[in-house]
Amino acid sequence: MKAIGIAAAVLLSAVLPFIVPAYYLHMLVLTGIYCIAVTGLNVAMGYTGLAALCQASFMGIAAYASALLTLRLGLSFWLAAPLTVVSVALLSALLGVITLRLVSHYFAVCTFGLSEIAFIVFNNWISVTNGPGGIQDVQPPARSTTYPLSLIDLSERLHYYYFVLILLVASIAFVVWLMRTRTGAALVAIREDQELAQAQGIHVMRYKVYAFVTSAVMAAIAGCLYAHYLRFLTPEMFTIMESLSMVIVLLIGGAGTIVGPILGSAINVVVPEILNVVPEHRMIAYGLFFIVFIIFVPGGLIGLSRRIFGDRSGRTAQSAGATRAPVAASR
Amino acid sequence: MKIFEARHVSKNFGGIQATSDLSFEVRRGEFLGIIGPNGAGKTTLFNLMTGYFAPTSGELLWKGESLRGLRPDQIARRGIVRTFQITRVFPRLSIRKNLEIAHHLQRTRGRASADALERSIGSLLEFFGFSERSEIAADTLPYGDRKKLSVALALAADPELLLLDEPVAGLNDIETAEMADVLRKIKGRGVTQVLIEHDMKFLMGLCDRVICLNFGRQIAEGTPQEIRNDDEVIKVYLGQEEMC
Repeated sequence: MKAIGIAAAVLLSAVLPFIVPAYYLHMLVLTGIYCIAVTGLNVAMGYTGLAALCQASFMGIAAYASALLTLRLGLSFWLAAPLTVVSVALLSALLGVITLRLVSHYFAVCTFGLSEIAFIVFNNWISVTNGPGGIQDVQPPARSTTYPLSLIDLSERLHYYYFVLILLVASIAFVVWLMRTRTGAALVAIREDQELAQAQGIHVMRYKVYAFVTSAVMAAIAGCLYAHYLRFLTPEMFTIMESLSMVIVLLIGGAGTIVGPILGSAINVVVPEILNVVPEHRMIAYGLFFIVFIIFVPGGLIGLSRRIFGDRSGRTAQSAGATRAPVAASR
Repeated sequence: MKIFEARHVSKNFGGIQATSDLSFEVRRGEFLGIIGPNGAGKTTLFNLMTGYFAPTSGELLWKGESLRGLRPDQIARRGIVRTFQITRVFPRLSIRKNLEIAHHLQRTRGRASADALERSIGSLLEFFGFSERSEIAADTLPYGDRKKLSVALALAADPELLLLDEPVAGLNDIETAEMADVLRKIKGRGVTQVLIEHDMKFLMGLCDRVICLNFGRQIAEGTPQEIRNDDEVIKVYLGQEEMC
């Protein structure tokens, strides 16, 4: 049953570009990229209870880094992107070791600050980032003779879609695997009760850093994909508002569940499109959504569907209702 | 044979001395009780023994080795596992999942295979009477069962020394009797236990030896019988007409 569902979902996303109008292919690519970042955030926030408000910053740092490595140093995407992801991993580990000593809202406020710092750097380090003018002419990943991926031409939107899809499926598969391991169980334990987790012999700090880095790595992957797809970057793409909307998207979809980030990301792209929302009004809508969901739908859409249809697997899964305000959960 | 020793342990919070110059030992296999009025420093003592607080001065020794500078999880790894006065379980997870997580140490030590883990969870479920209800969420359990689960979690970490902070506070007589039975069985497995409890009948019935604290100082030590008749203990804690 579950296997069929997964197969159907993968198949559907594979044929989706041929079903929807061509215009929406662009939306699909962006949804996929966004979903990778939110899936990452889900590891830190949904499963571990860390209210990390800097996911878009990690995405931005990676986007800028990958773009600049290719443009300024002439590196190939296939070298620049992995280098970027590794660098962001190291950066997040360093930041994590320092900031994860703080708990709950103190940590949230701290990541809020990091987010602002990242934006200020993007906006003001003109010699490197070109400030508010942003970066143009980022190139799509080149065909390379040395990689099997050279078969596909990533300047083609459709091919890029499949490239993103592969990485998205890999990210999700990784999280599924992770949550079945002892490490995954430790993360959930920390979300549920940090002090008890420690009393049970769990090295809380180590696992929190692990979750934070995992989350940042996925943001970095999304950032690299974003830069070489859109081909231009501006600081406004990676503000605190973007980080906050990822949090809201996660909550709306259902934090601490595998499907939640996918659902949330899809809604994030589709609903404004249908309602034809002016981008400036998006945050107002998000604010309202946020309040409504926190109060009335604490488990997100996934939690809601479980309540309506019943949790057929019969488990009080590690995710059930996991979205009770994440700040409170991370104490 | 002592496995744990406190030497002149003091803990100050600002100007307040939560424990002052405490020295005592825990002997292998014994059941040690700790009593004293509220604010006597009992829970602080547990927090010191398990690394949640660092002593201001003095030394804590586990099998002759100092615990100074160790984190709570490292101390748990060495075999000292505690429960909390405020009953702590992993609230939104099933009983089974709670126990699975609680086996973290046994799994990291590489001691337990998947089979052994499953057996251990199964036997704990049965031991505490959760077999039929293993899939329900911990926060839906009645209070008494949550207390039991918190002891089960500590036990799953495979302790040599188990520290119990008021395991029967708020329980009714039947539940209290059940808990006494459980703790006796744990003792039968050779686990050394230290118990903080205000229920004197419960504590005196279980413990081999009792220490009484008042204002962070040890004022008496002895068998339950000796403690019950200790003038100082009666004065500060038990009162004149005692029920036990």
